[in-house]
Order: sequence, then structure tokens, then C-alpha cells
Amino acid sequence: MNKEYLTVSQLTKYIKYKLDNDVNLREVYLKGEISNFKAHTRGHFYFTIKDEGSRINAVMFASSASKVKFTPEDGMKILVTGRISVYEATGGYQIYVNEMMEDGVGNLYVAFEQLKKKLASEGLFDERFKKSIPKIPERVGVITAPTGAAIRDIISTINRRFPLTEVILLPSLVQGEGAKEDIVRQIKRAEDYNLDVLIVGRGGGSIEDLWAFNEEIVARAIFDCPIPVISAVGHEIDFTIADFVADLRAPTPTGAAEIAVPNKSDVINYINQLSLRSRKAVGNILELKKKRLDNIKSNYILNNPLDLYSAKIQKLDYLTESLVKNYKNIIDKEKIKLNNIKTRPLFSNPLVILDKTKQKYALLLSKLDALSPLKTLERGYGIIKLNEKAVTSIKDLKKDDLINIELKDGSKEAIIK
Amino acid sequence: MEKKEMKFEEKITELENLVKALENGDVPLDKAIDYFTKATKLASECDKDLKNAEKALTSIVNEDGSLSEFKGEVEA
Repeated sequence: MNKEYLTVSQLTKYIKYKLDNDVNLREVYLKGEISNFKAHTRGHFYFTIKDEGSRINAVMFASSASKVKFTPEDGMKILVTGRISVYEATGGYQIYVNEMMEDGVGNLYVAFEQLKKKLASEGLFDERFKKSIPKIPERVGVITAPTGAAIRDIISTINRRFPLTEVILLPSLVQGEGAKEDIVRQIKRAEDYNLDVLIVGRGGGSIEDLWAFNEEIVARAIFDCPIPVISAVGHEIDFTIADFVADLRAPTPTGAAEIAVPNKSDVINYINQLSLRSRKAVGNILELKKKRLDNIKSNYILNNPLDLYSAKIQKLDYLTESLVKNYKNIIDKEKIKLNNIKTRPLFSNPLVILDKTKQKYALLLSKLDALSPLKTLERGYGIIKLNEKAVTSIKDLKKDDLINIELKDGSKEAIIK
Repeated sequence: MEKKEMKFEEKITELENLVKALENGDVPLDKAIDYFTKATKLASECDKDLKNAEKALTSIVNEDGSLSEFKGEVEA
């Protein structure tokens, strides 16, 4: 039966499917030796990785191959990571390599990763600790080797871009024995030179050459440095611990100089812009003041100054009027009061009151008269007095008392018998 | 007493401040003219500084901490 036979393509697809879906084969760490190495003109690497007992085809596409930091050669011991899949055209399985490094430096990578992790967890790479790089530094410090491409590139870049900046070189070993201590020492000394920014770095080299910049004491010195630090180690593709801890990473020493100083022509442009802005601003201010003046000049009151008084005049009129009115009112009231007083009988007819008073007096006088003892005497009564006192009872009189008898027309003495 | 010459960066900062003050607009006229005069002077000074500068002054820190001119092989 035809149906039981597979085509080669079908089988190959099936095998490829199987391999692609195996989790273990998606990320493989493999070590071995390079043989049959070919670098394609388009940048892809084709080679075989082998050991004593076996071999596997390997392919590394340009995107990954461009990041390899050494030149692969046959016989080289390597460490690679990649995935396993099938190339259908040949039916061969192969490793698609993402990363490749020389074996033997593998330990350095482990140390690098460990230190990076440790410092990261301590926060040494945190964005909040990054100091900003001044726009226009007066003095740039450079810690690198006094000979070599790095310092040359930095100085020529600064000369080209912004020669107003002063460069202070703090010469240092940058590789080998004593390099890390020297770098640390110079980072500390840099504080004494009034620097606005500090470039720490070196030119390209192997991972061992760059290693001083992966040392913990260097990282901590950079972190503790009060001056903003730009790291510039090796080439674009080289990352060191110093890069992570620095305030800014430059891909190369030249790049560091470009970051550290502005471009002269940019600054000239900026100054021109500021000039222009100041001119425009003054123009605006003058315009504004002029407008204000015009406004004031066209102000109604300034043009009709008498209006300032009209309201006051009106008020004065009103006050005068009410004053007169109130004044009259008061006088009128007082007049009425006066009239009232004048019409009182005392003033209108004072004799009536006198007559009445006279009559009253006469009446009272006659009453008083009626009560007077003299009147009784006139009617024939008499008063008997003993020792100048009127005697009202016969009992008060004794024999031989000298009494006085008063009648209406005189008195006579008598003696009681 | 002669005032010490301002550093380039200080000049630029001062220039920026003057321009900002002017742009703020709320400046008496005599002050505005004063600011503008100063700004113009600073701008031309900065411009001159830049055009006159040819080569960065480069020094090397000696072991004893003193500075001396650095004569590395540097292309202009």
C-alpha cells in the first residue's frame, strides 16, 4: 500500500518537529574543539565542534557571530550556547550557536557574572546613584595609560570638539599586575584636581587585558568617586563591571571624550540662539511697555480729567442740600418749642395768676382771723393769766393769786379771794 | 580690584539666566536694558573664547601630585 511509505521530506519534517519540541535541546551548553571553520562573506560562521569521540555541525549567524570577541580558528577549545535543530536540505541535525567564547576564560565569565550580581544586589548600579554629566566641563580628568591609543583618542577628540576644556591625565597601569590597585589609587587622587568629569578606561584588548575593569575594588572606587565618571573600556562590544557602576558608559575612549565635552559648533549655535532669544525678549518687553503706555494714554480719565471731579461735585451738592434742610428742620422745631412756651398763661396773662393768688391769700387770712383769740375778746370773752400763762381751770387758782384779766381793750390785775 | 575672569561655563550659565529673566518679561525697563547689555557682552565673549581656543591644555599628574604639560603623541 502506497500509504505506508513516507517521503524523505515528510520524515525529515517529523524529525525536525521532534527535535524542535524537545525542551532540553532548545538551550544547550556545549564545549568542544573547532574544526573546518569557515567564515562566510556575509558574516555567518560554519564549523564543526568535535571531541575525541564525536562531532556536530555548527552554524552561527552574523547577528550572533558579530559579537564574538575573538577570531575562531580550527583547533580552538570553545564554549558555546545554542539550540539543536535539523537542516532539512541535508537532513543533518546541527547546533545553531548564539554565543561562543574561548574555553579557559570561562572561569572569568563566571567571576564576572557573580560580581555583577553581587554589586547589582547592593544597588551599586542603581539609576538613582548616577550623577549627571556636566554639559560644559572646565576640567576633564582621564585615568588611563599615558601611552597608547586611548589617551591619544581622548585628547584629539577634545581638541577637535571643545579645546576650551582642560585635560588632566592621571596615568595608570590598565592591565596586568598592579593595574587594579593603580586605577583605584588614581580615582582617589582625582578628587584633588577640581575635575568636573572623570573618564576611566583603556583601549581594546582581550578579556584578560580588560580584566582590571572587572575588579571589585575598581567598581567600588568608581561608585565612591564624587566626580561624575564616564567609563570607556575597550570597544563597543566590551562590557565591564566598571561600565555598569560608572555614571555613564561610553563605547570607546573616543566616545567618552565626545560625551564629556560638547561640540564647539553646537555651543556657538547655542550662544547665538541665546543672543537671539535675549534680543527677542527685550523686543517683547519694549512692545509690552509700549502697549501699557498706549493703554494709559488712551485711558478715559486722563483724557477727561474733569470727570474725576464730577462725582465729588455731585456729592458736595447733595451734602450742602441736606445740611441746609437739616438746619431748617432744627430751627423749625426749636421755634415750635419757643412758641409753646410763649403761649403759656404765665406769659400771656400774668395778672390773672396774681389775682388768684391774692384771693387765696385773703381767704386764708380771714380763716386765720377767725381762729385768733383777739376775735373772741371782741365778743366779750376775757383771758385770765397767772404768771403770764392762760388759766383754763378753776383748780389752778388759789387764794391770793395775783392774776391778770385781759379784755378786748386792756388788762387789769386782780387778787383771788 | 580687577575681578577674576569668569569661567566659560559660568559665563554660559549667567547668559542663560539673563535670557530667562528677560523672557520672563516682568522686568523693569532699565533692568531689561541692563540685562540685555550684559547678555550681549557675555555672548560675544563666549563666542570669542571658543573661536580663540585651538588646543586643549593637557597636563599629566606626576607621582608627587604636581602637574606638568603632557607631551604625548597627539595629532592635532
